[in-house]
Amino acid sequence: MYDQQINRGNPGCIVFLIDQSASMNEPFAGTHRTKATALAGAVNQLIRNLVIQCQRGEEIRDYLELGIIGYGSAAESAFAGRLSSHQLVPISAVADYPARMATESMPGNPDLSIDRPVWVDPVARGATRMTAAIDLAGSFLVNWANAHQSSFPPIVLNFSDGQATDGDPRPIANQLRNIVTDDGSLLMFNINLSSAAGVPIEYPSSPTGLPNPYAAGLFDMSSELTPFMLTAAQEMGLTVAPGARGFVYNADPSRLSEFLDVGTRVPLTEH
Amino acid sequence: MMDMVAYWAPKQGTAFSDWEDGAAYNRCSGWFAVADGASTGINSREWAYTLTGSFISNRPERALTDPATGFDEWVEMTRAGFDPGSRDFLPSRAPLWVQAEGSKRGAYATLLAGRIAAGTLRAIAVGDCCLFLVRAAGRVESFPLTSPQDFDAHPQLVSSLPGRRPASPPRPFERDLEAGDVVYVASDALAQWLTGQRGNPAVWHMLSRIGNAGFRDLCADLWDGKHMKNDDITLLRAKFGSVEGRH
Repeated sequence: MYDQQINRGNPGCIVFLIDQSASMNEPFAGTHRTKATALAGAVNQLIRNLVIQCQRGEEIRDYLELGIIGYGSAAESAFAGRLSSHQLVPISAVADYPARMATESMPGNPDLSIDRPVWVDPVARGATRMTAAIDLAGSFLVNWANAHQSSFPPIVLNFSDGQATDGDPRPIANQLRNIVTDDGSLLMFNINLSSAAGVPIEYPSSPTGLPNPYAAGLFDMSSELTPFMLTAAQEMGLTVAPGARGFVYNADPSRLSEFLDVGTRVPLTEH
Repeated sequence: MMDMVAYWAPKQGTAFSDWEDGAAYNRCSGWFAVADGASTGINSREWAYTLTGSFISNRPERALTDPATGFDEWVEMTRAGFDPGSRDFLPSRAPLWVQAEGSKRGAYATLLAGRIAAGTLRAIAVGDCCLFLVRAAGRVESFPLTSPQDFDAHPQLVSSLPGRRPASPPRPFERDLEAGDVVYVASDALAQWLTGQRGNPAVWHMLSRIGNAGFRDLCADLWDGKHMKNDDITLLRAKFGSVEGRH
């Protein structure tokens, strides 16, 4: 289980669920950036890295399909630009159609700038329709899994800073995690973004010690890390035990980066 | 002139243009090089071609005799002339931003390179391309790795980025040769299989006589039997005779 190599014959699928509610306009863990800005930046950077991972020779190979769902007052594709009407996009098309290029300063060298692709914009308005977002993801991921039974199962990464306003998301999340391929059940990982600088809780193996029912609910919605991801997390110096769930509570920017890295570690073919 | 030849095969299911190894040799001078472009890097194939071509044409003697400094000097010179956008290479089909990102991140390759001259074999290695010295008496020595378990997913690499050194300097290898010795250099997938065949004289006898078609058949058999990972394969062979190479 969870060891099917991802290649063009057996592509993988990663879907991001992004909280775009009004509270995402608050500062992220005591920094000057809003949670919405930091999250959009982190997702854009991850997509850029995934594209590079799928580059072989002179082409981008379709090892992955990506989806981005934003949820605020509504749940809908959060791809900006030409991909905005698409739910799942082959990664070669993702590479070809960023919404735009944005000029950024090079880290550590503000005199140098580089143009970087942008697929997701920061958005922060309305409610938190997380349950609708999970439902929407399930509507196309069940078809994807049926069409790719020999593939590594889909991965869904849910980023939120608060509770769902459209009902308890746990039942629909359980249903989502029942989507299967021959290689295992869909993996759903959750991260709670913190407004204040607090003590994060990372990859717990049990709900014991979680501070409130909301955190316990996100734990319930989270799959265990696969052995491949567990090894990757340990190699990154994280303290993770077998049975660790893909769940981070009270995350700050560095935890967000780690979460994206761990949660998208898949057995990608070398060829 | 030395009896030197290289065979190669692109990984199964891929096109001729997908081959990301590089191999170069000169039968007259005895210089040879095999490089394996890291498939996760951008322009790694072009970097592998550039490294092997530069080694043969620039003949960096000091890289072999004093690898701690001579290797860096040669790599820096090679980096300065590296142009993945050159008309020597196929034009990229990747979006422009990916190409720009690739230039920033650099290209990477493993390398095994050396020279056979005056009865002596000198070589250096960065990463997991391997050299096999098959003595006329049948004993087989391998360098730098010696068993299939030595291979992992994170070999040392030569970077195209200025100033970027491998974690440890290239490893040197030097042996006096005798008539009838045969030197092989293989990229990692084949090398991994060959390290497990050091005690199997039939394999080395077969390789000493193999031609291009036989090499392709061997690769297909090893892939089909799951004895070798599906990767680009390169094998360079140099036969040291009773006269050639001794001056």
